[in-house]
This record gives sequence, structure tokens and C-alpha cells, in this order.
Amino acid sequence: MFDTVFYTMLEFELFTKSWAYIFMGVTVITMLAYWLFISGQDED
Amino acid sequence: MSNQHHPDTGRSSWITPFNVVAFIIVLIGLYLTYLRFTGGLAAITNLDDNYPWGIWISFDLLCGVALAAGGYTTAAACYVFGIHKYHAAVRPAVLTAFLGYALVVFALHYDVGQPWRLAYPIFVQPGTTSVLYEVGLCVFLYLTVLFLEWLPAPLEALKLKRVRNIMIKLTFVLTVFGIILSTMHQSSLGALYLILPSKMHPLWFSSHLPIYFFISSMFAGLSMVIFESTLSHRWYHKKMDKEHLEGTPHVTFGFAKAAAWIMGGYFFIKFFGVVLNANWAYLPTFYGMIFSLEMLGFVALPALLYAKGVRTRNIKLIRWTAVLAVLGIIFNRFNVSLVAYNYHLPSEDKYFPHIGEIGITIFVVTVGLILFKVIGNNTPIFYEHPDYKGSH
Repeated sequence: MFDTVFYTMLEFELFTKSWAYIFMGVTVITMLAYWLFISGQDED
Repeated sequence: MSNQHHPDTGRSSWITPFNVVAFIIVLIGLYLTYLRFTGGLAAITNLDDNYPWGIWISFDLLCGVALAAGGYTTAAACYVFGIHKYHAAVRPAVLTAFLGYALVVFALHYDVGQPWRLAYPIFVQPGTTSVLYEVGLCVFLYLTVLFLEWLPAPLEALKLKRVRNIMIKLTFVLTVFGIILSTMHQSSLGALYLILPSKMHPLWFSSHLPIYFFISSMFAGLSMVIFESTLSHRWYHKKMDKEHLEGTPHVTFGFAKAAAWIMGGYFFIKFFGVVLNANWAYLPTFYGMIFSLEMLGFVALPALLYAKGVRTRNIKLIRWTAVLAVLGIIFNRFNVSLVAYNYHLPSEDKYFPHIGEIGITIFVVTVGLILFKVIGNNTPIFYEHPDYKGSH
């Protein structure tokens, strides 16, 4: 991942957008779990 | 009456450790002020053409504005979102914000070459296409709004009931103005750095800098309110009434929960900056280490500690986390404005603040603490005035 070389703009966009979509999924799941953790001890 | 405040005049002796240290710092500050205004910027600063902005901008302005965000976040929570259990925190937060912004403007007088022209961009020659103009205008307007928001406290102390009642009626409008103005200039401070795509390190430079600055100001303000309430409880415990004492745990847990959530979101948004710009290659470098320390040590860690503190109802953990979060904001603003800025310059050309710059910064912070102490001792900030109980 660290030594990726891009020859065209399309390659750069494909690389960054692909990783962005993967991390979006990771973020959604993590944030949901994080919210449940934060509000775990709520009285209501 | 159990809920009556207990006046603690503090008049037993003027010679306290705080007063002695503050007096010495003020004397040194006045001497440095004399040097600055007789010898120019070169007399007490290391600023040059490469670094026209030093720690007076990084700390006094960027950190000062971010940490004063507690004013708009607390007022918004109480008056706009209707969470009245945070009411006790509003006046201390507004006072902190007002003094924070007032000192930002005070410190700017040292930093600009011709401080007597500070009002020129607004009243004489508005540069309406400049981001800096927008920052200046917002800070000018928001300082005025904060002054008006703070005004009921001294008016109550001065027994000016009619004017005070008019100001109380304006509270909601002023709060809305405050939120709008804060949203604009907190983000514009980040937008100032958009002009530097080639001078800033890619890990910190992003077209989303305005969003990063605005979001980070939210948890900076919330953390600062927790930090300030911790110190106030130590220094002003005797002055606090029942509402204030009972309201503080609600404020601490509620604000910690909000800060934990916002910091979690901020961490991922910043992370997406790395992903979308393909900046992975910079992470194993020296600057990457600093960036990772900022993101993991001063964002992710305090977010998790806040969450843990809220979950386990550990108020002590939350208070220490607030210190970490405040340090994290200072670290971030220094990284953006000094560490990442001019990263390509050889080390001999890099900026390190002159002892005079550090002295003026300490002087400005000390002036803020003295004013907070004087105002906190003489106006109803930590208790409700007996004549106006439950009327605001």
C-alpha cells in the first residue's frame, strides 16, 4: 500500500476511492459499536 | 438556606502564591511590551519572511479561539437544544469564551505590525474577498456577542435590573448569532491554510481543513468546559450554590459523552483525509510519527477514555481526559501552523520562538487568569444572584 505508483489520474482515483469505500464500511460498523459502548450505561 | 451562596471575599491577604507569581509575570510582560512597541517585532520575536506567523498566532489565536468554543457549545446545548441541566455551566463557559476572545484580540496587538490599524479591515478598507477579513469580522462580531451574553452577570452585581432584564430577553437571539459566527470563523481559521498547498505537509494539508477546524473546535470547547469546571470547583467551591454543585456532574458526563462521540467522528474524518489523498507513504516518516501521535494519542485515546469514563461513571477519569484533549487541540494547532508549515525548509531556517514571544504568551494567559479571578469573585458566575433565582 505504501509504495503504490500511479501513472494516470484514473489509477489514483480507483485506488483512493476503493480504499475509501472499504473504510466507510469499517467506519460505520465501528461507530455503531462505539455508540453502543458510550451509551451502554444510560439510565433510560 | 442551604442553597444560598457563601460569599468568600478572599480578602484575608493579598500575598498569595498566585498573586505573587502573577505580579512577577505581569511586570516581565510589561517590560516585554515596552520592548515590542519601542523596538518593533524584531526586538522580541524570531519572525521572518519564512515565518510571518509564530506562536502568537499558533497559541494565542488558534488555540485561544478553539478553546473558547465552550461558549457557543454550552449556550447551544442549554438554550437551543433545551438541555437545561447544563444551565449552571453557561455563565462560566461564556465568561471563559469572552475572556478567551478578548485576549485573542489583545494578543493580536502585539503581532500585527501596526496595531493601531487593527480596525482598518472592517471600518476603512474591507477586503471582502479575503478569508482573513471574514475571520476578523467574525471575531469582532462574536466578541461583541459574547460581551452582551456575559453582561447580565455584572448588571446583576451592579443592581441594574431593567437593563439586565432586556439583556436576558436577548439571550436566545445572541446564542443563535454566536453559533452562526462561531461556525463561520472556526472553519475560516482552517481555511486560512488552504492558501498553502505547497508549503504544508500533505498529512495535514487538506481541502477539508475548514471542516477539521470546526469539528475539532466542538470537542475542544466541550473539553475546556470540563477542564474549567474542574479548576473552578477547586478555587470557587465556596462560592457555588446548590444548582451549580448539583449541575456539575450532569455537565461533566453529558459533555464527555458528546466529546467522545464527536472525537470518534473526527478521527475517522481525518483518517479519510489520508485515504482519499493516498498519503500512506508519509506515515512511516518523521512527520508521519507526529501525525500518528496526534491522531492516536490526542484524538483516539481521549475519545476512548471519555467513553470509558461515561460508561463507568468515573468523573476523575473524565477530568484527566479533558486535560489530554485540551493538550491535543494545542498539539494539533501547533502542528498545522508551525510543524507542518514550511516542512521542506532546512532545519537551520526553521522557526523556534524567541524567549520574548513565549514571555508575552505567558503574560497574556496570566492576564486572562487574573481577569477570570476578579470577575468570578465579584459577579454571579458560579451562583445565581439572590434577586434573580430561576429567572434566566
